[in-house]
Amino acid sequence: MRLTWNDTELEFQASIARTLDDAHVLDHVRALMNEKRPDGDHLSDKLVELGVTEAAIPEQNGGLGLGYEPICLAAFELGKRLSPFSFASTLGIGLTASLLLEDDCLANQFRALKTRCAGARLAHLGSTSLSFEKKEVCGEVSFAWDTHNADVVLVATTDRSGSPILALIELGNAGVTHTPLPSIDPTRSTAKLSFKKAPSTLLASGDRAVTYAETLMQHVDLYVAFEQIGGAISALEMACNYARERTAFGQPIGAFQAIKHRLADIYTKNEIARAHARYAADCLSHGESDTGIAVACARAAANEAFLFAAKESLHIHGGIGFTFDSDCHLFYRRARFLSAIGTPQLETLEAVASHVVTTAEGATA
Amino acid sequence: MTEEEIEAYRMSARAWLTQNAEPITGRDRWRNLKPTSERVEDARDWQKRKHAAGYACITWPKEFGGQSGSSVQQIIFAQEEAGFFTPRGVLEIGLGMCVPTLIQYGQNPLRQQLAQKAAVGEEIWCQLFSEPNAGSDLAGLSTKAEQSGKNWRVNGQKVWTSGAHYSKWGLLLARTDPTAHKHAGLTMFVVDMDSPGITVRPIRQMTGEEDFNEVFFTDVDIPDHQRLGEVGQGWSVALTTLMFERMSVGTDLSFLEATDVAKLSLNLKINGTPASQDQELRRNLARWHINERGLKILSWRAQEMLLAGGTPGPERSVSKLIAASQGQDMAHYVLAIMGDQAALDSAALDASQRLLERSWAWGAAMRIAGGTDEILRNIISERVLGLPQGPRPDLSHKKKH
Ligand SMILES: Cc1cc2nc3c(=O)[nH]c(=O)nc-3n(C[C@H](O)[C@H](O)[C@H](O)COP(=O)(O)OP(=O)(O)OC[C@H]3O[C@@H](n4cnc5c(N)ncnc54)[C@H](O)[C@@H]3O)c2cc1C
Repeated sequence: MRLTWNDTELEFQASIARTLDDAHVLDHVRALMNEKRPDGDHLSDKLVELGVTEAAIPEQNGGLGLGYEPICLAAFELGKRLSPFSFASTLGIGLTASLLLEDDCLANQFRALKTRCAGARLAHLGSTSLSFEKKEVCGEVSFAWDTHNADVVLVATTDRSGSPILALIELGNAGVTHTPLPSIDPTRSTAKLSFKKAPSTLLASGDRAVTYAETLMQHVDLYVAFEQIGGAISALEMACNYARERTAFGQPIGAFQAIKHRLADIYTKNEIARAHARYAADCLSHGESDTGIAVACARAAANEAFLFAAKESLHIHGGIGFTFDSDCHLFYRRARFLSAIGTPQLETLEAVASHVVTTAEGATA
Repeated sequence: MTEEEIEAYRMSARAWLTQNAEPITGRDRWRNLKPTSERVEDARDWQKRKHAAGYACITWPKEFGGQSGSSVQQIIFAQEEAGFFTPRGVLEIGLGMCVPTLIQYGQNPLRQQLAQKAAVGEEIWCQLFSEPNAGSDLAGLSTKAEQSGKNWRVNGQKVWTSGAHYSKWGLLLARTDPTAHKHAGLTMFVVDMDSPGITVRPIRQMTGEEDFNEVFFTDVDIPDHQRLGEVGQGWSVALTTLMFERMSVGTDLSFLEATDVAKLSLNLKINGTPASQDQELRRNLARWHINERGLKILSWRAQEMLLAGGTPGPERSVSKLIAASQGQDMAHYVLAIMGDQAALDSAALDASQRLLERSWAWGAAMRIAGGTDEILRNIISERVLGLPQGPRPDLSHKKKH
């Protein structure tokens, strides 16, 4: 187990940070917000150049063989700047799936980020409204995210015999209807996807489909967690800077304990979330049996950290924080958006709870 | 140390512990909960055995009773020892804070003699810092030490001194210059607790136990060679002591953990259904578990950083801030589910509920001891986040004490 970052990872992170700083990501997000539109193309070339998509690919397959840590660090740096790129779905679902399947053709598309993957939950096999017959999919995914410029989506369902299925659908194909839904964070898109005999590629079936779907959701949840932690750390930094500058009653507001103690609480939550996320990244890279619970804890802690940091940071800014011109609402919206994608909040908590209760039952048995 | 050396050291430590102590399994953690004062002899004995086996005070130089070992070895042994029932909490103040301060600032031969006796568990130490009018605001203390010939004559009172009643030595922070500014008038001493003029009066805690004391000084003479650091430098010596406290990352408060609450909840009901199926309880279990696990990972990370030659960050402040409140909150939560049973003293309750009692009482204590919640938030916000200090009327005019 390794819980600190090594030099290679830190250099990787620094080069991502430099590139993103040069790209003025947050300025771009402000502009998108003014125009109320999402945009995913802004960064994809840069991410490819930096080698983010190559990091987890083994060296013998021409990748960098660095594990998932660099991807996590990229998610963190993107999250810090509220990047609108569909990172968790394209890398967490698309790229990861192509690697699990050892499908070179698919992998090459995702490696170059030429193909973008919409986010959709891959769970509840068997209870979805999707049907799969002769490789054609009918039904709908009532909520998908990062959809506006996505090329594909992965769905988990069952075939007629009830066997689990993991399939890929090209969104440009006939039989696919894409109905945009208004997003609380207009810089990130949401939509309903309906399928009427939409042709699909079968990626896996049976137990393999179930395991792959689980693994893909772990990747999505962990990358989202890193984005959330990045956002939480920026929100804290913004609030600290403001608290040092803004004065009231003859002193900086940051000298009032009610304010500084709130900031200390944001910091504490952020530290807990960071610790979990780092641990989960290590588990994921090494295929530890602990990965499921580690990712659940990381995701739950990151939900909590970003939601708390975003709301308290807005509050510490006073009236300015409630204006459209301040960045506070960008964070407040993004925190809400991210908390709603991947595994739902309460299900994540329930996964942790059931781990605790099962452990307790085991100990008393 | 190479990876192989580390592993070999870990294995021999584990083997020794397995032969000399009983491993902790999840089921019976509550068994180790005797009050500190009842564990003194066990603690001495355990320390003596560790010393004989070469596992006591590993990083201290050999001449001071240590092993001249590395902090890597120390951390590995501590990690292993945490998995066994050993009498904790009695010697930590001395071995973790007081004697390291003595080693850094004291003179030979005194420091050599005292450190050696502490290392084998023969002499126990206490920390004489807090006073009735100086707790969080420690630098405001008023116990006086006046120079008289080659001695210092001490008058005043300390309070909340854990273990003073079984300690041979005390680390004493006293005011040597009442005319100097608050922080500048302090000096650190080592005091023999058997000196004439010292009265130790146990304080009965909320729990009914007596672990801490009032200590009165009436014309107590301390030889000048028992001074640590220069006259007037006591504040920076005290900060070193508190830094050593911070190094002790990963200390376990022996409070309830989420799985303990889950275990208790298996036998409790909420509105007629098993408590373990209650949504709200389950969400709390999840949140508590996430904090616990997060703190464990933070302490592993701090150890990893120490092993790599780095210094730990503010982990201990974060850890105590979360763990103390959480222990107390969990106890309150379970008590609410217990209904009328919550009115009963632990004597009437099942032995497994001792952890609940401990968290209820010591959760309150640990939110105060070693820096209150408020002081820890001040430390995090000022030292880590760089926020300004609030108004400090005591400093603004460089007011005298
Ligand atoms: C179990 C236990 C063991 C102890 N053992 C020892 C020991 O061995 N040796 C020793 O020297 N001391 C010991 N102490 C003392 C401990 O260090 C002090 O109790 C602690 O520092 C608080 O000081 P106080 O009790 O004077 O409370 P006060 O400092 O008077 O605090 C009262 C309240 O005011 C708040 N407050 C104070 N200052 C501020 C501020 N700046 N901002 C916001 N709120 C503030 C506090 O947070 C607290 O809630 C022990 C205490 C306990 C409970």
